[in-house]
Amino acid sequence: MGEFSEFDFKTRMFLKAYRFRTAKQVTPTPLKKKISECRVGLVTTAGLVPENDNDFEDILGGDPSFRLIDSNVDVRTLKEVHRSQSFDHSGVEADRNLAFPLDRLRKLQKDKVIKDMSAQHISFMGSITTPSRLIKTYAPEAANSFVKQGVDIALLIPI
Amino acid sequence: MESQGIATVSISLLKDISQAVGTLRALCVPYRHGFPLGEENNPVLQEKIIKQMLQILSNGDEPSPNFVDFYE
Repeated sequence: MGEFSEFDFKTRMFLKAYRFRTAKQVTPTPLKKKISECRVGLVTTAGLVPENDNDFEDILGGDPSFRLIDSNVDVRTLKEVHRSQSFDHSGVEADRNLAFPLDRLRKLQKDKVIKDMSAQHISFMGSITTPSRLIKTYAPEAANSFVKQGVDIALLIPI
Repeated sequence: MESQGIATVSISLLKDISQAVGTLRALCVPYRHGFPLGEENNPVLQEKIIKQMLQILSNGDEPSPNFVDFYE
């Protein structure tokens, strides 16, 4: 498990004082199909960006936008532009699958553990300290993208 | 996503915060930030983690929230 002690003093104090917003409580959606019949989509907060797309911005309160990543992308071409210096980036720099396991999903599809993947996946950059626009605009847009693609399961991978 | 019929399951790196923000389902992993799927260039471990995430969803009747510890 990650530990608060892995962060520097400034980050620990911030996390201690920050008033986290609680997601609106909903009844969990039960899975109505077998996993092998499901379409799976990935959501990461690792700040990964397709090579021809605009980087996330380093703005006050954090950039709440997201990027769509095609399922057929070579993950090695994704840019890693997360602005936070509070975690070690070396792992994701060496292997994007560490926070965006697209190659792993490809194998699960090939092995028929899952039916298939969404045509596009979702990448946010975390470190959003003022989440209003995320909650009101960008998260619903991201969710709608998955609804339109017929996604059954979303795997949420924080960084 | 849940309210629109998409089942979600998350990785949790800090269980206290995951619970505080209202995460519904999570696989709690013993790795530090920056390493949510354990280790770079370790497809066996990464796949094992994903499979345990999927297992949480296929367990049927579940507590809410549903936090499960990863077992290696």
